[in-house]
Amino acid sequence: MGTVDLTYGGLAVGMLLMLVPFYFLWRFRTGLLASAVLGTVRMTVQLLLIGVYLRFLFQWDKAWVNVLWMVAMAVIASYTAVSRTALRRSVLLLPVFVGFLSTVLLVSLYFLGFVVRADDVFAARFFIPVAGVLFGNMLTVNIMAVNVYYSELHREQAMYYYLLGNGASRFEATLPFLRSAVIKSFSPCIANMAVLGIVSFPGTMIGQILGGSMPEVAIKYQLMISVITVVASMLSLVVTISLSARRTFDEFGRLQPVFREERNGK
Amino acid sequence: MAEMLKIERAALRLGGRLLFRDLDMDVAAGQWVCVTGESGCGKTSLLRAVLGFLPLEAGRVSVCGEDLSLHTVERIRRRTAYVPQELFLPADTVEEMLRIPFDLKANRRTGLSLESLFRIWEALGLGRDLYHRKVGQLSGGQRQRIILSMAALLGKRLLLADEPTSALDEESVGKVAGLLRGMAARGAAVVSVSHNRTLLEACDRVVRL
Repeated sequence: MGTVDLTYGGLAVGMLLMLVPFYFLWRFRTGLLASAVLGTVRMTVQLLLIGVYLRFLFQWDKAWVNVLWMVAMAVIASYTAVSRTALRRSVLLLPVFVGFLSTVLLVSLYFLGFVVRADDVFAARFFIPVAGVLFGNMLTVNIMAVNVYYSELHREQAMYYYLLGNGASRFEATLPFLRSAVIKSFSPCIANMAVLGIVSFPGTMIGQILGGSMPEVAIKYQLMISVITVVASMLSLVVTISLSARRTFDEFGRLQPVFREERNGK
Repeated sequence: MAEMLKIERAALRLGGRLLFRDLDMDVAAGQWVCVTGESGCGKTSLLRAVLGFLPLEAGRVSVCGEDLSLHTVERIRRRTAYVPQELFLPADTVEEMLRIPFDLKANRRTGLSLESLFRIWEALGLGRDLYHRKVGQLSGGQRQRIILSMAALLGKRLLLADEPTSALDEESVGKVAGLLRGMAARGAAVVSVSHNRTLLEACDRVVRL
C-alpha cells in the first residue's frame, strides 16, 4: 500500500467543513466564534510550520539537534502547562519541566530501544514523533492532576493538618490529594483505553493506515503508543508533584502559598 | 506528674497581627487545661503552633520533654492526637472514616478496637448503628463526637482539641467533658480550646489568652 498525499486544494476543501461548527457557534450566540476561528488559524499555521521544520530535522537527522528540539518542546510544554493552572510559576515551572523532560527521555528511549529496536534511537523519524505524542498526552494529564492536587490540598487544609497532627508523615498526609489527582486525571485515559478500537479509532492507527501501513502493523504501534502515553503521563505526574512538594511545603510540612493571588501569612 | 506540654514566653503573629506574647503554659500528664479567650485572640493558632503548623515569633514549645524543632517535629506529632474545629475526612461510611488515623504508620500498632469504640460512643450518646452509616447522613454533632472518639482511641500522650463541642447541645457537652476527664485520668495531657462554660468548669485549669 502507498501513501495517498493530500493536495493543498484538497486541504482547502477539507477546511471548508469548519464552516459548520463556526455557523453554529455564531447561531447559538456562544461568544466562542472568534476564539474558534483564531484557534483554527493558529492550528493551521503551526502545523504548516512544523511541517517545514520537521522536514529540516529529518534531513539533518543529527542526534543533538533532535535532543535540542525535545528540550525546546519540554520548555514550551512546561510554560503551557503552568499557564493553564492558577499556580505560581516559581513553584511549578521547574518541576513540570524536569518531569516532562526526564519522562520523555526515559520512555521514548525504552520504547525505541527495546520495543522498536531502532538502529538509532535518536533518529528524527523515530524520536521526534514519539516524543511529540508523549508531550501531548502528558500535558493534558499533568494540567488536570496538578490543578486537582493543589486546589484540593488548599481547600482541605484542615484534613492535611489533621493527618499530620495525628502522626502522619508528609507523604501520608498528602496521599488523599495525590490519590484524588490521579483518579481524576487518569479516569479519562483508562476509559479511552477500554473503548479503543470499538468506539474510537485512535489517531496513530488511522494515520499509519492512511499512510500505507498494514492494519496489523498499525494496530501493534497503536497498542504500544497507548501504553507509553499512559506510562509517561503517570511518571511525569509523579515527578512533577514530588519535585514541586519541595517548594510547596516548608521543613515543618506547612503549606506555602502556591496560587498566584496568595501571599505569605494568609 | 511528667510534663507533657511546656510553652515558654511564646509570641505568635498571624498576618502581621500580634496574637499573644510572653505566654507561659505547662500541662502535666493527667491534667486537662482549657484555653479560652475572645474570638481571634489566637486560641486555635496556639494549638497549631504546638504542632508546628504555625511558626512562633518568639519563645519555645516542648512536648514530652522535647523542644519542637525540625529534628523533633515528626516524633512529637506521633505522640499527639489533634482534633481540629471543622473536619471532613474523605470517606463514604463512618467505618471508613474511623480507619483513617489508624491506617497511618505511626498508629498501626494501636489498632482500632470496636469494643472500646462502642464503649466510648455509648458514653458520648452515640448508637452503634452509626458505624455503618454514610458520613453524609451524620449531623455535625455526631461527626464531631465520632472524630473525638477516634482521638481518644489513639491513646496518645497529648490531646489537642479545638472547640470539641462547638456543634453540641449542653447534654452532649457534659458527656464530652466526661470523656476528656477520663482521658486525663488515664494519664493523657489534654488541651482543649473552648468557650463553653461546662468545659471550663470541668477542666483542671483555664488559660485565658
